[in-house]
Amino acid sequence: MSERIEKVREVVVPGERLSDEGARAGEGCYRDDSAVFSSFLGVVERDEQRGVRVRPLRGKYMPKVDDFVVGKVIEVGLTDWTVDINSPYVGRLDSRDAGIEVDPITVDLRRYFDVGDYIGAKVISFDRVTPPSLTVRERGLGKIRGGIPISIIPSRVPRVIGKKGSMISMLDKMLKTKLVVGQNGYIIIQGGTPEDVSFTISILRKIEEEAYTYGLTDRIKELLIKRYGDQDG
Amino acid sequence: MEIKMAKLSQEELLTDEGIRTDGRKIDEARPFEVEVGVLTQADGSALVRQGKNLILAGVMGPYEAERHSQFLDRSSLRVRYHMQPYSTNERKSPTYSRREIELSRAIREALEPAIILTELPRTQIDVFVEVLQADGGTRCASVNAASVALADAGIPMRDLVTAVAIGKVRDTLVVDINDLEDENGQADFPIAMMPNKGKITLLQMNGLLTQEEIKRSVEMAKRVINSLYTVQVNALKKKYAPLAASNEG
Repeated sequence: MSERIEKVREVVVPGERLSDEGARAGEGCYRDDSAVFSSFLGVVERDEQRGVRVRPLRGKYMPKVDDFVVGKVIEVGLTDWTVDINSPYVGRLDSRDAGIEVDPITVDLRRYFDVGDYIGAKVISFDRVTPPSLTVRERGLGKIRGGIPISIIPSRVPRVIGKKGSMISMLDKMLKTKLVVGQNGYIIIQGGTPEDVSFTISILRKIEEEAYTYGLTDRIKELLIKRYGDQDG
Repeated sequence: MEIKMAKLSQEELLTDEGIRTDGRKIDEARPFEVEVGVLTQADGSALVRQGKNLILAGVMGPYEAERHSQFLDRSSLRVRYHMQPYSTNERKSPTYSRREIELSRAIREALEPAIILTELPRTQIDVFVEVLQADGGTRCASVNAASVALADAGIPMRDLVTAVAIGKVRDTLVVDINDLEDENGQADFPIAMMPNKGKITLLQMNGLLTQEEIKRSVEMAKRVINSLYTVQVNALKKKYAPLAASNEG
C-alpha cells in the first residue's frame, strides 16, 4: 500500500498567533493587539487578497445566507415547517417561501412536505436571533425524493465540492449514484445499486476523513478509476 | 503504598534535600498527558492524566438552548464537575455534593473568558467533567481537560485555558501539588490562565501566602502552564497528524 499523502495542511489551535500586523482577520480568526489569532481548532488558509482564515476541523453548521442546505422536516405547523439543518439553529420554512398561498383552515401543509421528508433549500436570512429562514422557491430546490441520507462534518463539505467544484463534478461523472450535497453536511445519495451506494459512502467518508490533506482529489480519482474504470479514455 | 493516616508534618512533605513525597523537586510538575477525542458520541472530548489524576471531559453542543436558559446575545455555558465514587481512597458518595457544585462553577468561570460565547447566541454548551481518579489539584486538571475538549468540539475560543495549583509546604513554594501536599500543606493556590494572552481566568486560595509569595507563585505557575500548554496543543494537533506521520516515518 503506497499512501501518497504529500502534505498536511497547517493545523492550528484556538489562540494560536497566525500573523502580525497587516493581514486581515478572515473567518475563524480574530484580531487582538494588531495581531491575528485563530479562534478554532482548524486548518489555516492564507490568501494574499482575502487575508488569513481558519476552517474549523469539527463543529456544527452555522447557517449562511445563500447556502444550499439539505434539511429534514421535523415539524409541520399551520403556516410553516420546522427543518433540522444539522445546526444549533433549526431552520424555518414559511409557506410563502414554498410558493403556497395558505389558508390554514383548508390547506394541510403535510400535503407538501411531511415530517421526515428531506428538502433541498436555500438560506435566505439569518441573524442568529430569529431562526434561519429557508426558501424552496428556486430551481432545483424542494422535496428530495428517495435516496439515502448521510451526514458528514459540515466544515468539510467544501472538500466534497472541491476547488471550483472539481471534486463534485468528478464524483458526479464517475460515480453511479447522484449526490445532493448540502453545505450543512447532509448529503443524499440517490440511485445506483446497493453496492454503488456503499462505495459512494466509503468515498465520502474518505473525503471527510482526509479533508485536511493535499492531493486528495487525485487519490479519490484513483479509487474511482480502480472501481469503475477510466471513463475519459 | 498509599499513605493514609494522620496529618503529615511539614518535614515529611519536603525533605532537607528538597524532595517531595512523590520524589519530585519543588519546581517539578507531575507527568502530564492529554488524549483528544476519546469519546465518539460527544461533540468533543479529552482524557487528561496529571500525576495520578485521571479526568475525562466531554462536551455537548452548541445546541439550541431551552427557552428559560437561553440568552439572546450569547451562548450559555454549563459545567458539571463530578467525582466517581472510586476516585478517592475513601468511597465518595456518588450524589452531587456542595463541593462539586462549587467546583463546577469555578471551572465554568475559568473557561468562560476563553470561549467566544457571543458567536453562538441562543445556544447552550455543556461540559461534563468526570473525575475518574483524584490526586489533588483536580479543578486544575479538569480545566485542562475541559478546554481541550471544547477546542475539539469546534467551539470558537480566544485561547485554550491551562491551569496548575501552586502550594506551600515547609514554608516553601512548590508547583503542581498532589493530594498529600494539598491536605497537609500550608497553602493551595490554583491558577488558570489563557497562555497566549497571559491572562488569569481563575485564582483561588486556601491557606496563607505573603504578598511576595503570591507574586512568586504566579511566576512559577506561568512557567508550568506554558509547558502544560505545549502538551495540550500537541495532543490536539496529533489527532490530525497520523496521515502526516505515516508519510514522514
